[in-house]
Formats: sequence, C-alpha cells, structure tokens
Amino acid sequence: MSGLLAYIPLVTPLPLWDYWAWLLLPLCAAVSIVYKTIKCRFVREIPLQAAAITGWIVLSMIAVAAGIWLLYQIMVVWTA
Amino acid sequence: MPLVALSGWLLPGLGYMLIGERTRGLIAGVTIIATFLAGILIGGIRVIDVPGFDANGQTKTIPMMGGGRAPALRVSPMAEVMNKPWYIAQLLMGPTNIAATWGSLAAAAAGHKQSTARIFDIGTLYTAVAGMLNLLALIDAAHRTTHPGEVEDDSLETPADESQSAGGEI
Repeated sequence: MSGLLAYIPLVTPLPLWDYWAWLLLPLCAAVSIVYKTIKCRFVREIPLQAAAITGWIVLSMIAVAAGIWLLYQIMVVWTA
Repeated sequence: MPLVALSGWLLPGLGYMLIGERTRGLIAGVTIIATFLAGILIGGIRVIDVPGFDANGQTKTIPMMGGGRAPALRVSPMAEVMNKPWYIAQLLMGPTNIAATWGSLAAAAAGHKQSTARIFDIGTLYTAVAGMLNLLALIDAAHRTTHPGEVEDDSLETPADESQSAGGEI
C-alpha cells in the first residue's frame, strides 16, 4: 500500500514485480504491429496480420518455455 | 531520402507521412511512441541509463595519470557507451529519448533510484525495442522514397485491384 502511495507515473516503476511475464504480451503486439506496418502492402491488412503474428510469437515463446522446462526436468530433477 | 530518414528519427512515423502514407505513419508512430512510453511507465524514467553518469546521476569521472579526474565520457567514450549499449537503441527514438535522458538525470538529481531486477530489464527492453522499431520504420520510409513504384496509395486501391493490375501487366 505504501508503495502505491509513493507511486509517481513515469518517474517511479510500476509495482508489477509478480506479473512481469505478462508485460511481454504488449511488447509482442507492438513488434508485430510495426513489423506488419512495414511489410504489408495495404494498410487494411495490418490488423489481422499483426494479430496473427502476435499469436504465433506468444505460442512460440510458450513452446520454448515448455521445452526448457522439460529439459530442466530431464537434466536436473529426474537425474538427481 | 535523407530528409525522410531524418524526419522519421525526429518523430516516429513522420517519414511515412512525408511520402504521403499518412495512415501507415500514424500506426507506426503511435505504436513506437506508445512502446517507448510504456517502457518508462513500467520501469520509471530512470530506465534511460545515460552513459557517462553513475547510478546516482552524477557525472562519472576517472583518475588521470597526471593527477586529478576527468569525465569518463570524454576520456573513453566508446567504453562508456559499450557499458550501456541499450542506450544506442534508445537513442534511435530521437528527441523523445533526448527529453527522456534529461528527465532521467533530473529524476536522479531529485533522489529517485533506478528500478531493479526484472522491472528494470523489461522497461529497458521496451524502450530499446521502440528505438529499434523506429530504425526499421525510418529505413523502410527512406527505401520507399527511392522505389516510388512500390509505394501504394492504399486509400484508392484494394488487394483485389492489385491482383488484377498485376495480371494486366503480364
């Protein structure tokens, strides 16, 4: 609570210590939008294509995270 | 072409607007600026970690062989920048980042500490990625000035029209 009272927007950091992973989602969306803004020949194609590539980035990150978790289980937990 | 690239650096998306692609410029500009501001919102203004200044916002100095101290940024500028390479990417945001740099040093002088751990990392990531995206956008805008045949007036033509015109050329 005291942290919230001391919060000054844009000066002090947001108290999101436990939710940092969710902050990657808007970044994925931003990268996708700008990438598709550059790549798409027609502006009206951008929203759908950016949404699709955002989904692919997030799914890929989940897959990589699952792979690393599995590797950790095999290499460290199961062989210990 | 240099004018378009410079405009894109001065204000994200302005390069597209100069070549007549207003909607594209607006989408790119708003997204890039929003990403940069989101980074500052998440990690605080001190995520702009300025080379040549320490964690307290004081000018970093190094001892000289003949005695006395000199500003580190003047003595070894490359080493200072390489200590904080993400600032290069942030600098690609142009005057927006210069204003944020001033704000960061002012906040440091007022006693505001840098955020730590992942929040600092995420804030730095957002601001640096925004700069890199602006680099992509200004390169693309500059490229379109030298390849005017590839520039489309998207308010007039649809993808269907494009396929027809492409077929007609054959």
